[in-house]
Amino acid sequence: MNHSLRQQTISSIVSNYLASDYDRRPYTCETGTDNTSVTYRTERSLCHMRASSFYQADDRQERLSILAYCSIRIPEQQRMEVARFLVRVNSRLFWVKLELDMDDGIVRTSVSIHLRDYPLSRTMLASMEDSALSTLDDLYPLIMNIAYGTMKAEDAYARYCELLEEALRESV
Amino acid sequence: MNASIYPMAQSNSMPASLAQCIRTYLSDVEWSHEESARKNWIRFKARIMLDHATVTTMIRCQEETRQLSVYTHAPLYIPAEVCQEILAFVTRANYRTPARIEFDPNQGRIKFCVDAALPDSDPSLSFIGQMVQLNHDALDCFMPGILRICFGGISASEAWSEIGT
Repeated sequence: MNHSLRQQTISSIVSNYLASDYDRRPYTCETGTDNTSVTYRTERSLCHMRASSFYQADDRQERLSILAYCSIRIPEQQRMEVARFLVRVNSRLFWVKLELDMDDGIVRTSVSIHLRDYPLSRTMLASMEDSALSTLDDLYPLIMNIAYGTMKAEDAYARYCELLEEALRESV
Repeated sequence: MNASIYPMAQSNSMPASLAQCIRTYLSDVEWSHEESARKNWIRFKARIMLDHATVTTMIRCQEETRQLSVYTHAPLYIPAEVCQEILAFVTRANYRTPARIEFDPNQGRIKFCVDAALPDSDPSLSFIGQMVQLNHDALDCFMPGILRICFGGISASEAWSEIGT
């Protein structure tokens, strides 16, 4: 463990970050059985949904993961179709990834980093959090259309690519 | 797997750019490599022997966005007839690993990726080594399952049980 370059533990940086954001709902905190990992949980209202987000700080392994969970599960018979969509989208993403639990139908996004001696700044935390939440929020309508509508993975992916291109055009 | 390619010691001097950090890392671990530039990315390509395969690992970076990425393609093309099972297996694997596993069913390629955006300072050798190690660990962990599906005729859930994650 190398905390020499980091003045605080990862868990304390995360708790300070969460506590300082007054727009956010209160968070809960749970310490792991090994006493070196702490998980913070909070909820956020996004454009399309309400998401639970988890901040897993492991000071022993110097690892931070931010996970954003979709509250609606994917029905068993639609999981392969959703998986088809997610695997295509994952190849267009950077750092963040989309995950589907094939057993429980849970969809989430995750962003992880093993910090080693790299400083964990507020900018970095905010960037990780934004990646996890905005990716989930952006893709939620397409995922729900596959799970509960009639959209096929290929069509959802084509629509996703269109949205990406629109966003690119707007940013230029 | 050769542990020396994942240095744990911290580098004393921090190079001035991501590309320079990668060059220093590759020199430190003594990987012979090729360097190329494409669009805004600088890419370093090296061959390395892992537990289950000899692979080509890419480390690439973009200075403006401060993005660093390590990726390795699984050294096989997935037969079309097992794409569904591989899709299910990759989805399960992605839920359990910090690496991101990409699968292109059209080309039959699987890619293991570890990314980071590093806005604040340059990464140390041990930071880059950790990214490379995560990438190779994911490949070594899930390759046996992929190979069993492709060549052993088993299902994704059977392969998942076999690798015992």
